[in-house]
Amino acid sequence: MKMNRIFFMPCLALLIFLGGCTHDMSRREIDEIDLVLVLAIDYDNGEYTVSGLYSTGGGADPEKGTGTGEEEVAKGTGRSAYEALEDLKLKNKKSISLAQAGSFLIGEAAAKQGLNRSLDFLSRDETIKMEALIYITKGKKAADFIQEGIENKQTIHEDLEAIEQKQQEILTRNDNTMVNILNDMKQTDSCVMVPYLIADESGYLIDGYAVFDQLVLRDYLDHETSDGVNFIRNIMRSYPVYLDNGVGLYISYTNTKLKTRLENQQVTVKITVSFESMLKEVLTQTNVFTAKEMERLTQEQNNYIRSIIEKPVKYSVENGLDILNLARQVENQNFVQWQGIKDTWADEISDIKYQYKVQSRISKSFILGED
Amino acid sequence: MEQVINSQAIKELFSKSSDVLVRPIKINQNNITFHIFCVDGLIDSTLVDEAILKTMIQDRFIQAHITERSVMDYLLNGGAYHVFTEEEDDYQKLLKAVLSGNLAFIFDGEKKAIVYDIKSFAKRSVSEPMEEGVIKGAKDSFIEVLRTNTALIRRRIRSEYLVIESLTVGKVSKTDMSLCYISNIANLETVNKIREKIQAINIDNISTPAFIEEYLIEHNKSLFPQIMYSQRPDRISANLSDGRIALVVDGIPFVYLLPCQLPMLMQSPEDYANHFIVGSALRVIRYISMIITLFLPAFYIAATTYQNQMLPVQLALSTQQAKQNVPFSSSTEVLGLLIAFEILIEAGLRLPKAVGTAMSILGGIVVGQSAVSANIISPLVVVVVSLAGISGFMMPNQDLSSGIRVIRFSFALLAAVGGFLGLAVGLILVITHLCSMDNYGVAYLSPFVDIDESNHKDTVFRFPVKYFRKRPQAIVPENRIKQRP
Repeated sequence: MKMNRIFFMPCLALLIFLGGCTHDMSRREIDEIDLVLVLAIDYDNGEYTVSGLYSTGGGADPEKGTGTGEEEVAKGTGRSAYEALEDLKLKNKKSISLAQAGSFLIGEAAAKQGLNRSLDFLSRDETIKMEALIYITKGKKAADFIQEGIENKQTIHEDLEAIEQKQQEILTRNDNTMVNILNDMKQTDSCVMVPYLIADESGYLIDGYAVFDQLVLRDYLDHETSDGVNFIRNIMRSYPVYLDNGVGLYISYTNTKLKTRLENQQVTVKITVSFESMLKEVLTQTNVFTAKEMERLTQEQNNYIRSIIEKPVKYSVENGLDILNLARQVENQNFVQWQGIKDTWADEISDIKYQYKVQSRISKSFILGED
Repeated sequence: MEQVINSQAIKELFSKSSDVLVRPIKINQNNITFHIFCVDGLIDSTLVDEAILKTMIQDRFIQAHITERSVMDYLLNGGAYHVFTEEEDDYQKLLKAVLSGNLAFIFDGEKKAIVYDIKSFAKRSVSEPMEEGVIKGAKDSFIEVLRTNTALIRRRIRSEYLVIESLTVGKVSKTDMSLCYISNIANLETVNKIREKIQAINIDNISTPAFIEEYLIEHNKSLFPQIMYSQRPDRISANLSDGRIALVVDGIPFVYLLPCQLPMLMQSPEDYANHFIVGSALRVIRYISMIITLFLPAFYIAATTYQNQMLPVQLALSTQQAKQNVPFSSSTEVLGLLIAFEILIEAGLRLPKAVGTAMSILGGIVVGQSAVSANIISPLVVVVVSLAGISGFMMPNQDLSSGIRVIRFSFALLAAVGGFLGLAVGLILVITHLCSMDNYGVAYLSPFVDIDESNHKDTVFRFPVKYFRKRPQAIVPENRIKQRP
């Protein structure tokens, strides 16, 4: 028993000291570090710039409350994003922690250099939140995006959080988390889709997806095409439908199934979308609640959704880009045949045949004041 | 040399003790004299006068007895009106009996005495339990008198199998104890083991409960209580029915229970007085409180000193701001405030009630408000330590609460040294320690670690009473059936 203790105590001490040697075990009081909330990565003239947005505390005055204080930006430059980050750490007065960074903005130029070049150093940092979100800043440097926001008196990290929450209302999951993007990057047969941000007077908006081919920014999808991608990826939670005759509906449930068939080197994809909607606005004099009228509305909304779905399909066929992540589906569902086409998959994308099946139901609606 | 019962010797022995009375009484014409031997203040003198001495002096029949032996026989066979009467010829036993509050008539010629159990001394009445009060349930509690306490148990278990064995411990104090168990349920091996341990105690005086507890527990260095106590007769009787063994000690207003396991210490009589869902919810809250009190200060230190990613963004930012003008590190703040909290508790216990209340208010204002205003500590630390402190008082067992308070300090220190790694090391050590302990052959974490599913119906969740069909096998190897379905 005594011997056990003699061995145990040094082992415990060793364990603690070894733990202290790891990067994440460095002892830093929370008030002695700058918590980077948003990290922007840009590329210009052969040099990467990393800009960290952090909040400066205003002191703990109970009467004034504990607001999040002012936001400031610190910058670092280098030949790679990692070198730029180290430069930023060196230049900043306090230590930098990326542990609280909830969003990573990648400027258009940096995105064109390759997604991996911007994200590799982050993927190796054990303090990074895996659920942090990644966005592309369309047509701008990410740092400018932040700077403009500060000048417009925006609270950048809160605005980005608001975007995330808004996305959660529309989509069943955010696919642009760090872990998802890193996972998608391994799948080289398909495009990596990262949402891009645009700025308007009221703040930031997600307008659609940026398309990465072989991890390099290739194009931006428009809003409706991006919605179509969401439908096909089966992540759409809710979606408004506006029909021509003054009827507005709201889709509250969707389910998309992709069935792929690979025969004689020909890939056929059957897309089945089922959804439920409810009437939200009726501006026509026609009684829309009759069976015949409901059937007509159902058909119209089916056509509407089909037109949305056809957009990303059309884009994919025209550009030969697998933006619908079909490679993985075809491989999973036709594993043996896949071996025959996997090397020429990029050429097959434009030749894929699509079949559509859209079915829906309009649930009951009510009008206040009427029985 | 064996001493014989003799009034003169006893008189000389207690010559300097003014409260011990040795007085001769002549009862008839035949010059038969015996001596009354008692301790003033421990006997019921009215009962002695009215029921024994008066009737004896006025009794015409006693006049007919001409020898000490025949007088003794007459008294033992109903000559004196008292039910608890017995003859004693052992000198030491006589001394113990009288010093315990009995009355003795010493017959020098026979070298024997007749002992009457007429104890009557100042004692508390049976009142509501101070520590284990319940809204719905019995309101009686144990007092400092052994026989009253055994009577309270016997009143609830009217079984012929309830055994109340008498034992005496303490070379000087000669403290009476009673070992209680239900002979056809309890594990008699455990009973023997406990009896042997008690008999092996060779201390002069049992002045505080710890003197008994430390001899009965098997892991002296553990901070976790291994002997349970209760002020409530209903709780003790319920545990006796479950096969546990109770120890009643004279002078201690609660009763010990063995074997004791950790889940027992997290249970309260209130759990059984309420609906089973309410009872279960209360227990869950208690376990959550235990987690909060153990880990919250350590978590705060680890999260603000090492791994800030464990905090949500907004909380990290507000913590950062709250700490900005505070000169101390998080660990100093937390450990300092924990110590201040302990000082306040101890000071509150020692001071008279009225002063204690005033001091608590003063302490609360000074620590809680002024220290924050003066930027000595951050407001969040006050919240963390207060929450941990209050949660600690949710424990139904005071010994467990005290043990957890000490472990809380250790965890906070480990977190200060190694962050969440240190905390994990501490947690592993505590779990290993708990898993390694047993109590009279029963695992300390039983029934959590029991394979038998019937044992799991009264742990974190309390099942309806109809599901309590078997007694725990580790405690009761035989006669396990509590009720038939």
